[in-house]
Amino acid sequence: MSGARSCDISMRIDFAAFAAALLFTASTAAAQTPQPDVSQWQGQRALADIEKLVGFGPRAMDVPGHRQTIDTIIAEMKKLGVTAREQSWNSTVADQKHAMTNVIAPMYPDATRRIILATHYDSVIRAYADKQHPDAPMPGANNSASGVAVLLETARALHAQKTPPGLGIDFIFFDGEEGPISLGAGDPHWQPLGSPYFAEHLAETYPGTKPEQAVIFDMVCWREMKLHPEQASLLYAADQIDKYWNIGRTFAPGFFNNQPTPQPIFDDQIALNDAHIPAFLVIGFEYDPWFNTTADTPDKCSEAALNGVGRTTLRYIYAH
Amino acid sequence: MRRPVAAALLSIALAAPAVAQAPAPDVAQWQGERALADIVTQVSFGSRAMGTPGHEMTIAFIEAQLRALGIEPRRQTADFAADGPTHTITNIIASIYPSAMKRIILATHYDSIIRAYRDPQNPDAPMPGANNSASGVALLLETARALKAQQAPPPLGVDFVFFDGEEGALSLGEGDPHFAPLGSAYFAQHLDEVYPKARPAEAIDFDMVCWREMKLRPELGSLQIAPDQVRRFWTTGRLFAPAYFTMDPTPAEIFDDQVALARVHIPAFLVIGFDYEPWYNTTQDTPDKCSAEALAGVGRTLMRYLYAH
Repeated sequence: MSGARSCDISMRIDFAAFAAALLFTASTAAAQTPQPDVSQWQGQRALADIEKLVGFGPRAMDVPGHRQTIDTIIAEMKKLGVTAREQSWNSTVADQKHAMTNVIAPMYPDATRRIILATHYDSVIRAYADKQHPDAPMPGANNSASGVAVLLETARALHAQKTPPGLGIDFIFFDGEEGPISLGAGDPHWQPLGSPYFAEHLAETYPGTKPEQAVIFDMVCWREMKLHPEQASLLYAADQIDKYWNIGRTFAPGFFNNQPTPQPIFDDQIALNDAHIPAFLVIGFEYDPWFNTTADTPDKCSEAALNGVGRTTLRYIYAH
Repeated sequence: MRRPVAAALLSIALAAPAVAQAPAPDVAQWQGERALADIVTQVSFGSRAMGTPGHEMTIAFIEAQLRALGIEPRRQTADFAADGPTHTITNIIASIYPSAMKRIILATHYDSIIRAYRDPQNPDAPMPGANNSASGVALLLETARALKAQQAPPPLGVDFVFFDGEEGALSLGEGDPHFAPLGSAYFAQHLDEVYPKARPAEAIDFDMVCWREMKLRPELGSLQIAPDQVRRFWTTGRLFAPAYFTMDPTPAEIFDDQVALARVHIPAFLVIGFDYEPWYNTTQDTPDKCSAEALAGVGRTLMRYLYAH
């Protein structure tokens, strides 16, 4: 083998421009169903959810805040007439044993076409990325309370609509996304626990037809967030991403950007794609200097950012 | 959620392939320890350059390993004579799932350079060639084993091609100013012999894939020829073996066996741990530089890639 050949730069295509052009030119399919009343999606309520969850302290596996979060999710869903189910099992991964619980809340259970809206509800246990206090408890407003808040508020907003969407919705709150020692990216042996279990036991939840797609939310409240199409999701759900980002760019341009993430990001979307459910990740990936520090607090979030992603999601659901 | 460390940008096309429908493979069947053992075996043959005993031993070794899996290899031979010595080139071709219409070539070269010409102390010493070239052979053999152990076949047929003469007529690789790969050029020129009907859908060429500290980069020429395939392979690698993959492309094109395949319009890309200093083509290119983890990193990425078609 030889590396001696010169590099002919002029022959290279500008793939980034090509990619952006693709996103812009393709589809803005007309919605068959009525437009949703997006004002029913209220960022103020989502922000209150975040504050409540942060008030529990860390929501890592085996700590009190973890159970309080499960109970809050189930109680909030119950207020809307939605019965949430606990999918519980014992996990032993990387020599760590945990009692695990995914929470699954179906809305419009009779609809045959279904979409998963998912997030993880567990948090990192301590603010390991904090330069001053790496052992301090993790507040986790953006990572992870924001995803839970977006799902709960989406359920409320759907409940308030006059006409149901054309798709049944399955809200899934995954456990253990931050891995066997609840340190997320701070653990070299990190792997998500809840979404692979869910995917491997898919028939428990879907004995018949599989859901036709899934949207995964993580870190979606930062007031300065820019949501980018995620590289791994683009392999499996490019059409869905195109549609979602078109809506986002139109109605919440401050929070959406068409340029893909420079790297693939490993999150709960991978397990669902492995199970052949086209799944894409909606993540505010850049969140420095606060990522997994004691400063990941509700004041970093804004109602506007939450509305941006929440109302985009509502429009996206109704565009099916 | 895990944030990869490197911030380099791989800006390539978004046009995505269809959603995969094959089951996920059991990647645990791809065992780095076995691949490492294959490297040790080949290095024990001494140099595997054309015309040496080690060359014949390597052919016999590859064929025996394939037959043990119930795969019948065939040889493609040709005499090569140019300015250098005359050689009989022997490419080895082995197909799994031969009835599958859609096919992928997984290729490497099995010949090594003849002497460790870059070694500061012993430039005339025989070349051990653990990384260059035993690692590619080991990767293909272990992939065959792992595929045979799966419950369901991948959604495309696999043709393993072990090229001869990649290190050129003098078996000195880059140490020969007139270096050009021989076996892949012959194979490409006679593609119709192997593929009388449909051509292979794509090809991946592996070279130097065992170093424990390797960083696999998208190769600049491959990015022109097979951008979508490279993006999918590297995305998978970054997700599942992030220590061994970076999205930052190679600074220049690398001339390897993928070039001959690309010239006959097969979307072909190169997977190579190109940076391998200070051991590249020295007496220090020995199996202790390799790790089972690095081999499994690229091998299991390949398994996922195959089943995601």
